[in-house]
Amino acid sequence: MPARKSIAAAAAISRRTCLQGAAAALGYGALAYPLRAEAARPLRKQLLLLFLSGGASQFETWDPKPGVKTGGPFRSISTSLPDVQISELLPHASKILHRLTVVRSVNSNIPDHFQGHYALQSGRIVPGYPVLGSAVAKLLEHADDVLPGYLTIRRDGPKAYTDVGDAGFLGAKYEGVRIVNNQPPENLIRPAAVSSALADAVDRIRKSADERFRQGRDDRPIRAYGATFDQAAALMQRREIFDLSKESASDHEQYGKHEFGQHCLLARRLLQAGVTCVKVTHFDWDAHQSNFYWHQVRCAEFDRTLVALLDDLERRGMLEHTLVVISGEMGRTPQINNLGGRDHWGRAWSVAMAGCGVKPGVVYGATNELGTEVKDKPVKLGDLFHTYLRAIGIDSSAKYEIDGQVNPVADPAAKPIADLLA
Amino acid sequence: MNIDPAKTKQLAEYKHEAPLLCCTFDPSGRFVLAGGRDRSLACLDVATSAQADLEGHESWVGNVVRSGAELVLTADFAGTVIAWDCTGDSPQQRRKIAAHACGIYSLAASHDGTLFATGDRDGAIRIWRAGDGQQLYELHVQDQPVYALAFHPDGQRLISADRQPKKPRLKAWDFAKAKELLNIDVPQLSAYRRYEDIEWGGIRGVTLSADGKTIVACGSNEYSGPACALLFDADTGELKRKLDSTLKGFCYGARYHPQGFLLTASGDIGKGELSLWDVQSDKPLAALATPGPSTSLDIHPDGRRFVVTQTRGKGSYPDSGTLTVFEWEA
Repeated sequence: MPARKSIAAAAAISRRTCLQGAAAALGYGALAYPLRAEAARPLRKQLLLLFLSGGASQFETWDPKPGVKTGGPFRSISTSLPDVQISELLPHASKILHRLTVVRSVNSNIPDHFQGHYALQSGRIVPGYPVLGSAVAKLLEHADDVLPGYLTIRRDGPKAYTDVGDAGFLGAKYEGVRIVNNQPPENLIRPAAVSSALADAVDRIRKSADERFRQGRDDRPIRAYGATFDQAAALMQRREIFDLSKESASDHEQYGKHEFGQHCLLARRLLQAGVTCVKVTHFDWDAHQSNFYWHQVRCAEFDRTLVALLDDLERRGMLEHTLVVISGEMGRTPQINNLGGRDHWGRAWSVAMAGCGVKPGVVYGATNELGTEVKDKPVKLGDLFHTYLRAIGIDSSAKYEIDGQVNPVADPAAKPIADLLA
Repeated sequence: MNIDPAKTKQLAEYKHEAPLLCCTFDPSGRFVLAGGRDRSLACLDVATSAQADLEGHESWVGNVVRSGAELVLTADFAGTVIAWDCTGDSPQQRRKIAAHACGIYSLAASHDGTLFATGDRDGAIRIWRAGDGQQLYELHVQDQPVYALAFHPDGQRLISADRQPKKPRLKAWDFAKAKELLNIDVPQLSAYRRYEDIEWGGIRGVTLSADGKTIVACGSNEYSGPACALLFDADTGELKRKLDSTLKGFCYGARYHPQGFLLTASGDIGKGELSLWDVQSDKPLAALATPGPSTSLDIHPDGRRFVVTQTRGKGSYPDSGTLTVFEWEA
């Protein structure tokens, strides 16, 4: 258990709501804070999480088993790695497998959306810890950062299990700012009725009130609010980072004009603007019925966009300092149900990575002939979390020390997977 | 000789190593060919009860239909159609056609045996000449897999069915002119879930009456609703009758008997039902429970026997299949 619940509990407030309110209240054009000079730190480590929500089937993606009872209808295809095959549903990825790092032996043993969403992002079962994006935003934070460190991009719905867990005890400052349907947070433009002078005056009054309030009190909530106001101001100043019309027609085409393609294009734009961690959620992998139809459809979107994204990051020199993680909350059952679906399965499934800090062209671990169990190099979810952090230069054995409370950054019972780290 | 539709007798049951999803008698009625979650086709010699596996597909075989006087056509998830010559002592491959770049979801043969049609995952419908396997026409149902196809007895029209979210559609086409003649929205067979924004339903089977006046659309009446067959006027699209099974789940297929009654096959988790309907009523003449979900059926050309495929296994995870041959008593 974390030694203490979130310090932000007192300031329990939706990050998005707070930003909206802050942006509306700010409304001024001139900022007291300099924006991050990203160009001066081109090698700053960043992380992009592509989250396949619902749980993609390992059989129809990274670990095919053609011709066996559990294998499904699809064939496997050769890849750019000798003697390695993946599902025919990923023809584009097959050509760049030498640039990817695939783990085929994940045993998270969590066949549940809610638990899986949290555990695969926090590296723990026990609640209260920060998810990967929040942790990375905190651990790679620079003193002069103003933009939010963690943004999440998703469509509007389904909502039930996709937003579980966030910054935990790190507090509101590190919670993911939600970008829904590629729309920026609301109220980033000062209302016409609010003059610049009025906005400045309101902000001065707010700061003055904050200053008086913090005298003789625990000022952590005030600091959290203050950080949110600062970030809202930065987003108002930099609202063009959400403007995909500034991206070329060619990039729109390459990424794909569908929802996932456009979300990934925005993710690249946000990383380019200096956001430390971005999560893109790709929906509808929870194929309890018609699994093979749905995986054809979802893989077709995912496959092409993934390769376009990696090519783009590489072309721009971003991949060397950006780790791309491809994971869901679980895999899918080897058994195929009566409706042609695969159900939830956490005992033997796959994740993939690319870019900063991981060895390209590695396919790690293996499942048995039917894909029912891991037979070689089992990987726990805590191991993955350690590995992600190490790949972007974070000492995963370090501890958070927040307001006198000490918590390990990653599960001490797990460890980084040395064979995967560059 | 007329048969009594309510009096059925199981003649034999044959096992297959994989769940079976589709079946047909060959034109002579000697063989049954069945496909499913397997690259091998199950082949049964009805007279001798000899069983064999037919090889040739590289993926699961989701559709099988007899064509003309000699052929059975089979279609798979890799987009391949194989024409099997059934005139000898065992079915032999006559032709293999790379028909689609993605999985084939539906297959139908024209009544005179000269044409067949295939529908794929992406909404493409192709019409082929059975004699030489040449493609003649192409239609398209926008962005939806073509779940079922049926030729009209007039030889001019083709009926397609899909899984458009919230309102699966039947379409009647003048296929030679690539002209859509009729669109019938079938919201009754939608199993759309707003929470997930996914259409789980759709029209799983289509058949026409011998006189061409009635289209039968099979599926599930809403999410977790009863297996259901809907009868539409083929000229106007008007809904004429709704046949609800007592079984929850999907109605996967229907066939008209030459005497005019309708036989449907339905399945739920771990159980199935065969229902016989007097189409002038919405009450079944008879219903027969099957131990596994009944996934397809076909009536023998002599009208006295029929065959049913089932999936079998523990709970909701079938791992094998059966072919069951039934006979109607006079």
